[in-house]
Amino acid sequence: MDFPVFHLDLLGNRMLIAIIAIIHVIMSHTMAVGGIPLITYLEWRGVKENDERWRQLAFRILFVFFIFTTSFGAMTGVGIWFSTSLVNPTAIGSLIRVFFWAWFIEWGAFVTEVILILCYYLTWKKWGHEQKERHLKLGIWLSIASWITMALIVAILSFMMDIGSWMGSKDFWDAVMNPLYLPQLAFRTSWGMFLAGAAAITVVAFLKLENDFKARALSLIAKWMLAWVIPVFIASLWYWDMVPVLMKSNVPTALLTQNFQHWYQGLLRMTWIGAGIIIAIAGMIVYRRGLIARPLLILPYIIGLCLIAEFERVREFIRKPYAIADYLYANTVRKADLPLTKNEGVLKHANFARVREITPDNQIEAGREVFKLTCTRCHTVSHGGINSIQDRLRDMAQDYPRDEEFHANMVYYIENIHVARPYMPPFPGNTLEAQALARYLAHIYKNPEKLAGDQILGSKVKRGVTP
Amino acid sequence: MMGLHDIPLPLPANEALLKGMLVVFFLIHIVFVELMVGASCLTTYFEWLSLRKKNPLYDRLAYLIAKTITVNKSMAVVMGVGPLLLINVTYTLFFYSSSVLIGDGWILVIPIAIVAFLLTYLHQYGWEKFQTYKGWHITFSALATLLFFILPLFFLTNTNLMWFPHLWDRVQGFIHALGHANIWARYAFFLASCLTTTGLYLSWELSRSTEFNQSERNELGGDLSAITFKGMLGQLIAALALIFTLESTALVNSMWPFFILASVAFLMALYSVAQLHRHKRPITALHLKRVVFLLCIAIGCGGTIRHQYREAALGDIAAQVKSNTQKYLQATERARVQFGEVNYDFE
Repeated sequence: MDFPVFHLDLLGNRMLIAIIAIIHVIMSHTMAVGGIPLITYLEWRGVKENDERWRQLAFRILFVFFIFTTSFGAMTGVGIWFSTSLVNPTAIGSLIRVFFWAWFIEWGAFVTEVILILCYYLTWKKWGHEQKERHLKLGIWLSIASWITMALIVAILSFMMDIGSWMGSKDFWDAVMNPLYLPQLAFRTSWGMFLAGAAAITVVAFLKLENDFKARALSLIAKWMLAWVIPVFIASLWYWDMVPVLMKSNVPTALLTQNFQHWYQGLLRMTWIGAGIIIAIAGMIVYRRGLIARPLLILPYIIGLCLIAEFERVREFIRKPYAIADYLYANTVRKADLPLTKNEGVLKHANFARVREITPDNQIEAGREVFKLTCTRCHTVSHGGINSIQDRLRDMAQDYPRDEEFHANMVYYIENIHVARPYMPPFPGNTLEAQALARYLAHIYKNPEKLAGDQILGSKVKRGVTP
Repeated sequence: MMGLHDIPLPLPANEALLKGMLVVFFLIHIVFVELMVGASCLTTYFEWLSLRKKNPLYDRLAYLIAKTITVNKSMAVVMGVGPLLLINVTYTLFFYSSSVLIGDGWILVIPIAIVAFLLTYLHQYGWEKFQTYKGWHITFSALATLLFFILPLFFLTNTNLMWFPHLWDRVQGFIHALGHANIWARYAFFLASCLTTTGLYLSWELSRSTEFNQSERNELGGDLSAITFKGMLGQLIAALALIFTLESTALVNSMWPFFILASVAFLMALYSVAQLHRHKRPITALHLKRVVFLLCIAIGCGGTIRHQYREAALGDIAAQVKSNTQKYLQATERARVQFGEVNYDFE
């Protein structure tokens, strides 16, 4: 409501964030937060055993991680900001106002991390034998910087799920130390360490090494993974235990979609089986000293990537109907603004809208604008688009063959949508806007159309003084 | 009069402090960006020159330049996060609105930068493997340069659009927003700055490199002083175009002292580099210190003028927005009292 509306009518706005964010989490967790300590450990092994092969192996893994983290990793990190500022600028703008100093310190940690990884990587060959221990210390500091960067960001992610006592105090530390912070941090730390092993095994699977040494290396990395199984398990239970009950009720839909929520138990089983396969393969690598086929070596990382995507999807979805728990709805409307918008309308108070007043002649146009302002954060319009409203309407309209019946039921449905779908925000507009929206929905059901965002059509700035 | 309101949460720190930090951190960021873009361009140029003139000396210089990109591009990204954070918090309404209005272009920054970085890595780490396929090798670098040349247009369009909310009603997408003449003058100035900054940086890098003997350093140093001179000359011409395309409403008298100081410092630096270029001499450490010092004065003044311009462009509207935000908060409070709190939770 405070900004023009960016809209992708096929991909969907949430999917844009999801693609960018999941790539970033994969890079940051498996190749930085977990990856750098693992590489440092391999380097330490080389120093301890005075075996140059461990150091060479560590460098070859580092090379791959370095390329990915400093291209995909770094840019998708910035990309999360870009995409969230397009899709829900009110949410990211509010979070930055609350967490500015945390983000600022995180930036300092990020600068340190990048300088350290450049030093760590670029000095690997330059620093001679006598400086190995010094280089090792660089790895330890880099591991700490990588973890601190994540630790600060997790405060914001967990705040979005549970704001704790911040609403009353508006205090920065109350925001940071929200109930989900430590459990989520523990989960992400151990999960990152665990999957870093899977990432490293995937790299080693493609390296040409002496057979005996390759077997030892794979076995050692697999042991690293197995060492993190129990911490991951404990942290997962702790995290799950702290997730608010209402959010847990969204999980069946979050794991798949509302159409497939009855497959929930099946997918949950598959998740456990997936985790079991990763552990089993790690165990096989240790037991058979790495002598297993290459496809099996890379399978844990592939499954791990799927699990990361699934966890992030669930985390993003279960906090619905909110973008920031109890403060801001997913459709960019603040909870505190509802009394105003429910009575005076969203069109009147939106900063950007092409229609300000509803008349008998502009019902569909006004309805389109209301849809754009209040529904497009989650819904697309085009047939086949992600969470397409036209596809949803096709199911609903069959129950109400007559237009007026459809319209009346649709108005009622819109005004009570949060009851029928608890993960959807309440409709923030007034009755006139609900009626216009119903007309628009009936219109697009019969006359399928696409919806362009303000990044294509432009918008109209609100004039005059706020009454 | 615009009826826009901002996010109803207070700024996390003193506004002047945040804006001061924005100016300083942005200048640091832009230096690394210029080094990244300039180095990508020059490594392509010297590698191509080596092939054309069959002179391996240029190929060695191209490799020296290529190696600097890894560090400078990483620093350009990471040092850009701070100014991005600061501009988000200080100009929330203006920056996000302009970002959304050019959204399709704005989000392209991410994949374009990733591809450019990967091409840069392929170019640098494939140097030896592609020795027998020089055409391909130069193509990777040229493509990376092309992408690096495209990227600034998104940023320039966005920052230009955020300064002028009166354009928001008219803009229909990124390509449409590119039409503002000021963007292209600033773009030309930026590209010329890339040559200047990179020319100076490489002169320093070459002077301390052990991979070249004295006579080679002199020869290549002369080429680099020529590049630096051309970059500065380009900046001068672009600056004139920039002045003529600025919105007159955003020009204020307090800019003059900074403008004069920046001009004097820049012209002195230009004269110094021009002398070296005329005699085909490299930029020595002594000259480098002087030129960099003078350019730092010019850049500092330029950054201040840029900030004054932004403030002047947004001044009245920013004041309206503050007032509107207060009124909007009062309206929501009145509605809450009149109609009661709306709480749909747990229904």
